[in-house]
Amino acid sequence: MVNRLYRPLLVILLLTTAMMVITRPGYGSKSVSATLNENQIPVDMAAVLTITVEGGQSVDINMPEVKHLRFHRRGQSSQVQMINGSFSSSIATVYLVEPLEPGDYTIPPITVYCDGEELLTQPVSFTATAKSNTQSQTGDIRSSKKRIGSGKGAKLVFLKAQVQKETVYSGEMIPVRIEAYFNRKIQANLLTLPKLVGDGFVLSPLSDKPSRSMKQVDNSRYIVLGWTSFLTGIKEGSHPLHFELQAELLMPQRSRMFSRFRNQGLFQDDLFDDFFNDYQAKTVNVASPDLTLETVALPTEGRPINFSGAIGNFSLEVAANPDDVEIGEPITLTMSVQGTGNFDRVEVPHFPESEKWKTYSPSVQFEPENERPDKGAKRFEQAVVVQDATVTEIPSLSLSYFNPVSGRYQLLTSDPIALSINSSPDLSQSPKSIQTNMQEQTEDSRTGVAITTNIEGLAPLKLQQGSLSPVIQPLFQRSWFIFTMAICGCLLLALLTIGAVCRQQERYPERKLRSAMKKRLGYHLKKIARAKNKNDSQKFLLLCRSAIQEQLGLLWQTEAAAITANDLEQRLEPGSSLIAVFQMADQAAYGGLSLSSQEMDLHYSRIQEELGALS
Amino acid sequence: MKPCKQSTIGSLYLLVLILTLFALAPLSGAANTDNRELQFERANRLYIDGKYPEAVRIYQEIATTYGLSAELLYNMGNSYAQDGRPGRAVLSYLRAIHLSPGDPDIVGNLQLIRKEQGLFQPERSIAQRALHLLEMNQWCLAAGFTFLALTILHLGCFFFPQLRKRRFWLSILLMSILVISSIAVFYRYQDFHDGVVTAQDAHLRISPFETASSVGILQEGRVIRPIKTHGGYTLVEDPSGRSGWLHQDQFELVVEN
Repeated sequence: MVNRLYRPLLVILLLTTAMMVITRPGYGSKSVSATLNENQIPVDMAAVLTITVEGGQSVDINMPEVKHLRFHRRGQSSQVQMINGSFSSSIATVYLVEPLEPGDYTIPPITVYCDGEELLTQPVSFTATAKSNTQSQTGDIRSSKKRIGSGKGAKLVFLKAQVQKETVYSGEMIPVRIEAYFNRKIQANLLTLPKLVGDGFVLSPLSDKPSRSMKQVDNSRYIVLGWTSFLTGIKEGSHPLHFELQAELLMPQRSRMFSRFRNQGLFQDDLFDDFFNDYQAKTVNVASPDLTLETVALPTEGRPINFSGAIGNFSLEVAANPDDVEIGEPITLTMSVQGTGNFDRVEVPHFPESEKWKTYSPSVQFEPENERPDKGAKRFEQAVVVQDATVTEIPSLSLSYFNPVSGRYQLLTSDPIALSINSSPDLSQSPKSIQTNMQEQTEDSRTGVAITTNIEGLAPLKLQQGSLSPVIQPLFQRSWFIFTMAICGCLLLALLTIGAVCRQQERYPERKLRSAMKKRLGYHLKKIARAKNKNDSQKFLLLCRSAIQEQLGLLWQTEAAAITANDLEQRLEPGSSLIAVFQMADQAAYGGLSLSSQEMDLHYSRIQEELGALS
Repeated sequence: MKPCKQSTIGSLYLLVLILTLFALAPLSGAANTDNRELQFERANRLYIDGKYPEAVRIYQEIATTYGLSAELLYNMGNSYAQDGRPGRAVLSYLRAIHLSPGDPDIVGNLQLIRKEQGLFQPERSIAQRALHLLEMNQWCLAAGFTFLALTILHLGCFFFPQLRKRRFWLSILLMSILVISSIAVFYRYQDFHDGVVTAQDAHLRISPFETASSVGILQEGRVIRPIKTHGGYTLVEDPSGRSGWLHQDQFELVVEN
């Protein structure tokens, strides 16, 4: 009965598993393509370059360097589809291509590393034209979109985008909140992440894991997926823009078999309605209402010379380690720029140029706060070297940025850091004397004569050549070393084995005794057998006696010759054939007893058996 | 009788010939040594006269013809340093250190060049500093001696039973030294795979192509560790952990495979 109930379930389970195995996503064949949404791009605009990898799970793209072209990575989306039972996956990576000068361009094949495989896209060509009217282009893009923005669709699913302000400075980052509303009564699959449609702004990559909440809008309950990201104005002017995403809606359809009930459910209950309803999948593009954002240029008045484009509100901290050094010893400067703003434009604070200092390229590390690209700390580490004994401090470092709240440029300066310079006797020289030591003799490169630098302080030449070897070889690869170690290893192994055997014998002395007894018994039995074969009864019995004496002497730890028949009678079990043989041997020695061949055979086998049992 | 006599004379001639060849062999070796010494002295003289490129050329000739020695590589390093080629100087000094670990002249000149060129080494942890106390071959020698001592100890216990009382603790001590030395050998052996940037403005690229974006510039004389190769490029990592593809013409391995 139970089997009958479980059998169908088992069959269903097996079929489902088989389906899953057969129809698992096919990642076998991989292909890559690169497409540009425009063939002609005005210089002040950007085109969207989409690199799509079919059949991959992870993608790493190395963008080539093309003169007068700039690539801005805008994000990545992945999609898995099932068509007629077979799965396919694709990963699309979006870049904005920004030409800097008019002309014909060809983006060379882009290297894409996909699941350990190296793939190349086809080259992409386009033309960059002179600057154009922005408004008309934007209108064209918008008019070409098919989207749900109003009517019945808007109640099922809609997209909202909110920004904190509508006027931004060129290069400034502003937070944007994007929310996708899905009516609770429908089922939906998100096919793409929201993407920005419009020019003049770039959107920071969105998270694959949006926040999820439930909201009530116009008496309907919606599941809300939310993303917080950042928009950066890259082009001056007023720009209408909106966001779009693609989703698959599973919309309930009333089944035909219940249409006779004229829009009334079978049991007047939503639950049963849902149960008997069919679902129809529809792919829709959902768009947010248009936003119009304005980008204004940064003021030219009061712009510092070393302004790098940093916009926001920052603070600067500088530390030096060590602060007690000798001339020529490196000092590590740690500069931390903290605050809020476009950190990608924050560059290393300016170290004043001076002959007294030698500076090296800094290393950079950005530590975002709560994974926000506009908030955190950017840390620079730079090695600097004092070249003059008169230096007493690390000079003030400066960093300029634009504050969008006050609308003014601001200059951050660090406090000078006091230093203690220890002048060692041979290094306490002014830069001039160091320069004379480094007799730099630079000749005109056009004459083809190499630059010659004479370094003072090098240890003198070696006058003997030393022993020559054909190659530089590690010691452990040299044959004499391997040979010596092999000998040592074998010797050690042999010593350890011998030691172990000796210890074993010391621990179990009876084993040694038994071994000795066995060895001696073998020797005696051979001699006894020889006497038996010669039919020499006298010798046979004498040999038997000495064998018994020796074996028992070893066993009893007594003198073998001192063992008598009496001892045997006392210490061996009565009836032992050893006693009988021993007595016969005595009789043979003193009374001339003689044994027949058959008797010798019988006694031989008995002795062999009993003495063997003893050892 | 005649054929026998002829064959004896023939054998004698052969013997004399072989002996002559044996006698002349050291002379030919001596001639080689003399020639080598003369070349070495000539290169040294050129160095003293400030003709560094010529000195380098002769040192290289000696190395190609006769082989390498720590002294030869050291003198070559000095010549490169004076000639304003710090990358090659660092390379020669590092090679010389492998042949003569701990030579104060080599170590001193290498440090001087690095200081002059701002080739500062990253701060090492205590464990790393301990492992850098000796060069790889020195650690290898220490491990070899410890193993030898361990063998002698066990051998001694057979002949001098009084040693057995201390055998356990001595074995533990020697085994500990052996393990530490072996770890150090393994760690320092990684240095044998290092390379040195020999070109000026060597661009570290994100992909193994000439058109690939540059991650940064590696200073001439900087030590790098090759990871893998692709075409004419090698994926390398510098001591600060920065990695990228470097053209194979722009660096040279300290120990050629």
